Amino acid sequence: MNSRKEILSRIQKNKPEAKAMPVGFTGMSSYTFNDFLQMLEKVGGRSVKLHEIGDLRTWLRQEFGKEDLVVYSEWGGYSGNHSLVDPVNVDQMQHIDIAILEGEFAVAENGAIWVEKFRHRAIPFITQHLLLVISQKAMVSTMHEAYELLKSWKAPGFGVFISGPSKTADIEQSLVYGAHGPRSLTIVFLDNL
Amino acid sequence: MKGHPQQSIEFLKNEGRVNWHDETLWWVRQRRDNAAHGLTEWERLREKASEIKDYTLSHLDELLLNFEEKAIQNGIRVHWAGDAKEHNQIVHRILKEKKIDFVVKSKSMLTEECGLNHFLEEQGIEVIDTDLGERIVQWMQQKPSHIVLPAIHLKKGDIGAVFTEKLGLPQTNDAQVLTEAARQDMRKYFVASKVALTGVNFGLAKEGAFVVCTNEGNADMGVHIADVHIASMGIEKLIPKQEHLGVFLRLLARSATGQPITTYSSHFRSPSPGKEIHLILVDNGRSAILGKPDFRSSLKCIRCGACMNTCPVFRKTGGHSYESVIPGPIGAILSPHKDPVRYKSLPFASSLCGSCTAVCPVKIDIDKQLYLWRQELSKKDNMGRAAHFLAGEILASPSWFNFGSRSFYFFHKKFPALVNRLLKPFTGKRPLPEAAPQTFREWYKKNA
Repeated sequence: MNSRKEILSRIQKNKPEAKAMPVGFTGMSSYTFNDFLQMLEKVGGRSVKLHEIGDLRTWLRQEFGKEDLVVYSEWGGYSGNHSLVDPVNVDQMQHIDIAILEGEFAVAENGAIWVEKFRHRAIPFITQHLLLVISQKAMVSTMHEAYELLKSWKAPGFGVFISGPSKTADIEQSLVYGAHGPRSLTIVFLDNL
Repeated sequence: MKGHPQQSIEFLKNEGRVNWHDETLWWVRQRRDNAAHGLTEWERLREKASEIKDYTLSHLDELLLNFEEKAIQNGIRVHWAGDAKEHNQIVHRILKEKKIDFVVKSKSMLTEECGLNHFLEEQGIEVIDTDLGERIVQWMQQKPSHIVLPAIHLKKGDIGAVFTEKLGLPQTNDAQVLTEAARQDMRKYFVASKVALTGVNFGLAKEGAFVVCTNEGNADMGVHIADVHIASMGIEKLIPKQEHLGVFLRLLARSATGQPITTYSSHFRSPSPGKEIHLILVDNGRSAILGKPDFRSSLKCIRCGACMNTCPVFRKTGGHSYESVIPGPIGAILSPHKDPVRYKSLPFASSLCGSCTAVCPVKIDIDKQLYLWRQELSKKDNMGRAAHFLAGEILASPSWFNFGSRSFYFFHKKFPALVNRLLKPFTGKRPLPEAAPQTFREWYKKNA
């Protein structure tokens, strides 16, 4: 408790003259759906349109080339073959091949999706591959607009912008996907524009 | 203390590697340029970020109090640490309560600054660095050489060798194979860990929340599986409110690596039911820097590393030559606050070209502070002061200058080996060229 007091009193003594709170940022560029697709590709993700791939089950098997995939889905449009039981622990999650979650909205300027709904916070990271299902209409142009939407962010205690699959370039700057988190990220768009 | 010039000798021995380091970081700098030029509002974003941080510093006490109050309401346990030692003790106390013998830790320059790994290991607690680059340097018993690219001083061969030693992997230079091996190995620790440590990129005063950015997903793998998350945050990491993240997250990754945003920008506001989040607010000299008007703007730093990638001295001498936790231009102006004797050579590890200031996303006047530090540090150094005085007098007087340059010319021509020896370390890697047949002044008089 002492340190708290000391730190605060040092700051009080040393801080510069009060500055006014800067006004909000205005005059940003605007980005389109196509910008989002380009950025998504750049960050190593990809997108599909649900009505174009036909049956999701068949498509998953084709894309991920494995018969006995462990698919965990929280999206109402698809039931996987894996369920979680409370209290959810790591043993129930660590063999998930594909997790299908709902994204809240996309950000066109950087290919990111805001995700805040999951049974357990580790799911979007521990899964081998991640599918985020989202409406094509749920898109903002820049991060400024993203935070306008998040001003009313109340419900869960954790949320994350996800832009592409997990990656690293720590070995001689060679880019590798699948560092510790998902090896791939697929955005599944629900409707036509 | 050896100082930067002597310390860089080791790195400079391998010319091929120096050139690779130089070119690779320049390539990262170019990626930053491409990303920045892609935004017409880039300069206005830098301006805004700088204003927001100026506001923060001028209201830091109120903002910290608000942050604390809101964070506690959100269920986060807030601790205050005056210095590194207190920070380490707080972490240790939490770990002892949980009776654990290892922790997973994602990248945090603050815990490096506090020497946390060493401290915990002395208490018998193993620290597993989970960022791939940090894991590699940890295995090699080294320190990160760059704040964003910790293993940038290493080549695939070195890394392959340590994987062979530590994991029994057959020697390979394939980054894909190496990363996969690290992934498999690290999962064992992730799934078993009870406590995970992270740094903090931004604290949100109004919301009592905080944000951690990674590309690998290692911070999230650690904290969501563990029961306890301990986040260490420098008090200067605060911003007034969440909407300001719009400015900072647009700048951070673009400045650091040229990415439009990091893969994961994780927003923590409260722990999952039954779990704990501890947040440690660390001062460790920051409030003192706040009291120095010429230097306080260095507290605006968001640790993107852009100043390192662009710095000709950093690129050519490597991060370890600085011997400080934070190397490069920003490290050279931060470290002397901690220890002006130990780090006295760092502000001189610069050509004062100002490239760092030109790329800094929060517009810290790094080159100006390097210059001011030189003034400051020279005051304490009698030899240096005498040399500066002499240089000032000689350069201000044409006749003294003429005399000086003629004398130097004489000695250089007659005793080149002696002059080269006397001018070390300047001449260590690049000896003076042979003296010209006449001085420029002589030539000019004849030919003008």
